[in-house]
Amino acid sequence: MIFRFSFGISGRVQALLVVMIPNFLNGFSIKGGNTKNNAKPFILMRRSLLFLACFLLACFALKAQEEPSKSYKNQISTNLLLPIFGSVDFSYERSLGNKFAVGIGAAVYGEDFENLTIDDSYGGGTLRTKNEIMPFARIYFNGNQNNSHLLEVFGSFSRVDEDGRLVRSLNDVGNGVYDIGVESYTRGGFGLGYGYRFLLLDNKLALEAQFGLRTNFDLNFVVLNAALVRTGIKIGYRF
Amino acid sequence: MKAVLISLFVGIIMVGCYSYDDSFERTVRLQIQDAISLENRETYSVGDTLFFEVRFSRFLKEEGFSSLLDIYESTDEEQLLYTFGVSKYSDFSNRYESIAIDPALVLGPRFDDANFSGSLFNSDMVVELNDTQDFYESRVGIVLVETGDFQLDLDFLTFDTYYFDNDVQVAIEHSFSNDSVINTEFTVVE
Repeated sequence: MIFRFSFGISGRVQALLVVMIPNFLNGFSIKGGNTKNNAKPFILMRRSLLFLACFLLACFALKAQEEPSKSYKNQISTNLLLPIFGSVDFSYERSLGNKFAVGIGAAVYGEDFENLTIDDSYGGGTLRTKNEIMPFARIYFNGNQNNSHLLEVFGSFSRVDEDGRLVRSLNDVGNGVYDIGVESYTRGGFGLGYGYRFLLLDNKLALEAQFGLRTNFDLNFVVLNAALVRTGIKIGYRF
Repeated sequence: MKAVLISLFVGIIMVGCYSYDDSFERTVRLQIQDAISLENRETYSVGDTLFFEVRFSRFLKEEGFSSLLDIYESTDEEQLLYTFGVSKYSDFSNRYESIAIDPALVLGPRFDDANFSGSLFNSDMVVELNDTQDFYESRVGIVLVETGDFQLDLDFLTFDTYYFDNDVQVAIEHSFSNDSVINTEFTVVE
């Protein structure tokens, strides 16, 4: 695929090459001339690879815009960043025409996911979101579903462990006893997201960058206890 | 079809906004009635002592649960604090006014923490778990040293655990039922 793009470049890709190739080559040439600082060649090599990645991504994106696209109704995707936080998610999306789509996502969060939340402390207790189901609806704009901006609204049902809670149990003789412990419960929430999606490989591969913020609602308190969910780089397969 | 699907998902999203009540309060609130008894005398003389008694089980009904709640096992507290008040009728205001009582004139079990300072209105009284560990009890005497028309403010007492962080707290709210024949008004004469 990459080979085909290399020789089938358009005017816009050529313009990109004019800008990017000198930077790319410059990275390697400086690397070879510098002997005083051992760290610098690695930094420059990393920068060069980054330029290369950007170039390939731009080629993919522009090529996708130039070719007539195949239409697929279904997409499954996963977030590539969540595993860094010991977590994983999957989404299924169903297209409704060119601009709209609905779907459902599910995520299982590890302990490191708390780094992405501001609701890990609540009334003296500690909250930990263990898993979450998120129905969502999307609208694509400034383009079509091949390459477009997207806005997303989603609901949330999350399973939460909260410690420092009153927990009632029965003792040996059948009387109720309270203790301070962990209580698990389900809570609802609502979120908004913005992102950009590329469709690659004849629209079979989806690459998305998305930012999403979800908050939960409490009956007693109107507290913004938000978390970055559905945020990251997603890769998806369309069929 | 699209409209139906979009409506369905918007509906699910809206349902997602519902949330379980996750109040973080650590205080268990209970209600008891008619746990206080007194002599029901209408007239005392200066120098007499008026006594009232508080007594309720350590196993109390809790709204929403069929099993009784064990207060002692939940809190590990043998003492619960409460406040009572005494009012004296004032011709100036034409009503009962709360008065402060010298602690020396109030007999009965008090909270024994030196860091806890009693208020003007005798808030450092306690009910204590009895020897058989099945009832919380308190017997309080008030030495009457002046004449007038008085009223004991016992109706809406609350028996609380002394607050410590990370412990289970209870607040037992007391009231008299409509069937109660208790008379909290009395007169002190020479």
